[in-house]
Amino acid sequence: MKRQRAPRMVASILAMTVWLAACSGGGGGGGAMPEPVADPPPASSEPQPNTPPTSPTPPPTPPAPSPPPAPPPPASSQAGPSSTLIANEADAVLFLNRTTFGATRSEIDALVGSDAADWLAGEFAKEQTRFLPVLQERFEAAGSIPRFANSHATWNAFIGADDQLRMRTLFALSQILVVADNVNGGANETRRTAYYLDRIGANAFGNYRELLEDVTYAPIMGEYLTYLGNKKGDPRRGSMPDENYAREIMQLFTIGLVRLNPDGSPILDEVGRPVPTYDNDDVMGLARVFTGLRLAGADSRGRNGDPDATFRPMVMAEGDHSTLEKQFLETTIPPNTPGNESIAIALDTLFGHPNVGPFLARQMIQRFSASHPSPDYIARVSAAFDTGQFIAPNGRSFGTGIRGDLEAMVAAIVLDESLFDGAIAPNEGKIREPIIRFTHWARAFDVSAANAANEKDLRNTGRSDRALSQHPVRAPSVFNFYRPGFIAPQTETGAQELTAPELQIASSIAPIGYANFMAEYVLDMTPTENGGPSFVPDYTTEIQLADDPQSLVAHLDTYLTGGRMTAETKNRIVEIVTTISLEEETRADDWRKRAEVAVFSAINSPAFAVAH
Amino acid sequence: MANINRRNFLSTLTAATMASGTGLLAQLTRQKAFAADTQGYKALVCVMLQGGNDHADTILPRDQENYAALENVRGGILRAHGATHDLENLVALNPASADRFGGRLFGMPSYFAPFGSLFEAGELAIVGDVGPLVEPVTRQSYESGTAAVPEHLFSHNDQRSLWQSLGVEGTRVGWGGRFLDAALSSDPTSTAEFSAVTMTSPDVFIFGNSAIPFRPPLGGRSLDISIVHKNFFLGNADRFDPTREALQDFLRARDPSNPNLFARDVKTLQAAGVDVSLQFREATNDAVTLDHAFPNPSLSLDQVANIIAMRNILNVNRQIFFVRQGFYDTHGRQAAEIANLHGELVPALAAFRQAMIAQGDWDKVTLFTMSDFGRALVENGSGTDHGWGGHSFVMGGDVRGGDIYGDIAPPEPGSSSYVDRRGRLIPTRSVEQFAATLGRWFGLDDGELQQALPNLANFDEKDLGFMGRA
Repeated sequence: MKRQRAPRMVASILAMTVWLAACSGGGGGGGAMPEPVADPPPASSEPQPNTPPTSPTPPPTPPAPSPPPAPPPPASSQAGPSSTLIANEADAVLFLNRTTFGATRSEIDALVGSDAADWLAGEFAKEQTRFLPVLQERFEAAGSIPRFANSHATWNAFIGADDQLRMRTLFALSQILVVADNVNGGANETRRTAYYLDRIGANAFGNYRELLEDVTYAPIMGEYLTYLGNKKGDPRRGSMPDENYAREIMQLFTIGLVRLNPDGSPILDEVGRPVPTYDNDDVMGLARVFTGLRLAGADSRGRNGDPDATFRPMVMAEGDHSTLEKQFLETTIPPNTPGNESIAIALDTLFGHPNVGPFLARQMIQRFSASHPSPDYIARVSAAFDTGQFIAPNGRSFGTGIRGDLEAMVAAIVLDESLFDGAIAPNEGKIREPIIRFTHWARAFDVSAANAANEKDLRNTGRSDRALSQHPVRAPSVFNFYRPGFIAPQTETGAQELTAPELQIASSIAPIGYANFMAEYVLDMTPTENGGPSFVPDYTTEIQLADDPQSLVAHLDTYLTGGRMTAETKNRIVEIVTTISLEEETRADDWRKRAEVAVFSAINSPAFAVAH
Repeated sequence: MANINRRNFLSTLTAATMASGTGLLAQLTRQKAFAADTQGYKALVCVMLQGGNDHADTILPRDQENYAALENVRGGILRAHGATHDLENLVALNPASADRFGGRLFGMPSYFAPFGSLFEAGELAIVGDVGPLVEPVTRQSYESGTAAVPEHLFSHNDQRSLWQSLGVEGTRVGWGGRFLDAALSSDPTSTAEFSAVTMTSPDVFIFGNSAIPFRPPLGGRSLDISIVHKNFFLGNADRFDPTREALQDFLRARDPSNPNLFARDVKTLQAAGVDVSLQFREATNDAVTLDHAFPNPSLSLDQVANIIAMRNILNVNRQIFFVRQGFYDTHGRQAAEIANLHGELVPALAAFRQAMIAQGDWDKVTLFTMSDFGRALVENGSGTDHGWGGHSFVMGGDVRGGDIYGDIAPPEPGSSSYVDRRGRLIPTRSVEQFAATLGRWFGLDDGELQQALPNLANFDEKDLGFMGRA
């Protein structure tokens, strides 16, 4: 995912040099060497109001959306090859599409001419959007909470919250530390999901060790991975502890199946095989650790005494906790170690494993900026995780300097040099989650003030044949909607062994399901409920350009995809728009039709699906 | 076997259907070195029991001694199940090869009663102790590390991939897809697009090198692009409208000049998905939908039945279907959860069989189950944990049913049939032996089977014998 920098000719030459360098560094991801490609020029001459010119020289810098918490360290002398300066509208769109739920007009305007690192500092300082307090307030006022309240709040936050980077990070982490809000009829118990998301949000820019602890004690995770009420083995009945959490916290939340180099590649043994990180003995040893947790206030039979227990940390019932020795990963917890202490040792052990950085780095990069992160990219991000620090090209420093710092990791991901080197390689870029494509449309056309609770279609967007093939915080299993190692059969990326997680839900029916779902929204035909305001898109700018299909499409290319549409795509959309003729009596309607059809086409274009 | 009457009845029905079949073209294309037999029509239906079906809560011992042994490791779960699992209430299985089990008896929980009848009727076989292997393994060779075993055993996603593709996660071709590749190369006139049909998000099982899964819409046979077909502002849905045409063309267009591989793939998948969906809609628009009685949930098997009935208009001689039933990962509350799951599985499969008989297709269709893994024998208090080997069901009119193939190990976790103290079953039959038996029935020859199943050569028994009753 490399970005173009003007002037164009320089960018092309630079692109070739940088790409070749990256390739020799092993960043090509295997397969045939792709050709370096320069960008199409940004649509700089479009006659639209409210849009700053996208000229090579940055316009005067508007103030950052919120002031950074601390004065930045002295910036490097000027924008060099790895500068994170946002020069124009297209650059701003590309950056915001990686870091938010979709670029908006106001965010774009505020960002152009400033440094992405400064914008980032502002995001890190923003107040966290919390879900539980709002639900709780509602509960106290009304005595109950509507079934989908937390899910609606999640949509609203993704589309409208101010702390976009935190919410985007929360969405990423919710796809690694997976729970589902509908487990065991959980849509009725919406506060336990809200609590969980709030813990992820609170730690999203904190330390992964603390996040792991909050996750481990969260009732919804205890329920989801079945260790809530997990008891020590019973020799009389012949039972042994539930292994579920022990296995999945290793495989999915911390270290993965095989030992990793810092660049995410597997460490190989003398005959070239990957080296497993653990075996069943480790699982059985660790399973003893996750025994004895129950809901706060519950009695000895696990019955719940505290009405708020599902949204408070679980507590340890020592009587149910294994008193045996617990051996795993070269750690031995002595017999009779109390439960919470055992858990702390176990989490320290897992967190301390050198795999965590690269294991997490690859998956986090996949959620923000690259479907197939290069080894160099993973190494840079896992270094930020391990050192707890990332220093931006302008000298701004992120992170506390303590290992496991997620602020440093997120900064390293979205400010990575590969995203700012002016080159686009064919194997770079990220296929965006269908959820993010939808929220991007909603944000770009300003429906953010509307309430998802009024939208019937947002109750469940998981169906492939009529919706988005995924719903926030509702993956089919702890293995998420798709796997980080998924390589799509019979595709060009697959032929080059490039991972493409999002293609795992791209069945033959999904494009129609997406198109139909989006058509209803784009054309403002979704069924509403509660009589509240619905998602009414604002196409004022597009209607103003509708007289001139070329300009309309050029505008959408820049505004939605940062200038990434191919000439082929743009020509086709111009053709589509032009089929709607402008009649004297129906001119206003015709303009609107043109705007709507153009938007519908653009959000179905490959440039909209892929951030690169 | 004791089911002569039913067999006669079936073959009568079959002959009538065959007469209107599509075997002629297939016969013309049979003179190749590797040449899958693609005469007549045959379909495999893979039912993925996602999450790891507990084999020991599916086939139970029905003799006192082994039932008592099961109670030693499964006391809590058996008690939670109650009457459905009481020894005297188990559905008796009387396998044709009972002698080889030395007096051991087998049964299924009472809600499997319809399966008991099918087993009795010779239409259902059980393949026991099957799972992913590289070569034959014993407890000793496993524990000493001398046996070659697949990577990442006991992990959901990898063992699922091993079952489906013989490789861990990231593998891009499954044996279902390979079977179709072989069939399509022998019969290039069949429509490749409708050979691999998935009723759920497609797994690697059904991807071949040329076969690519088609996913029909749920709940109906046609799916329109609403902006193109609905009565939107673009005009009446029945009238030609240039905007709608241009929009549809746009969605069906590839974008080969796109410099980005991911963007090209997204566009190609979009175009191919729209193409095949419209092609399906056009082909099946006038087809009569059969109205078989199916329970809810049907596991989409009602639609599988319909698509099988439409094979002539879809122009396919060999089809593989992939359906999924989820949530078998019963670490907790197993008694309640697995009873629900099996309680949905059994009637859905029984209804499918009924529909196939009504259509006269039962001898052309083989349905089988697979799962991530069987589960560890020693329970955890309310559920069970990940294992390795498990049992599969195979049913169809051409299945040599009424018997147990492979083994059913006694429930003794300390014995040589299991690894570690939790009692994780070592497969004695490999997925590839299981697949080869199905593949031979499907029409693949020895060379094609070896190509599709690279480890088959490591096993003496290339055919487990449960197919080819007719």
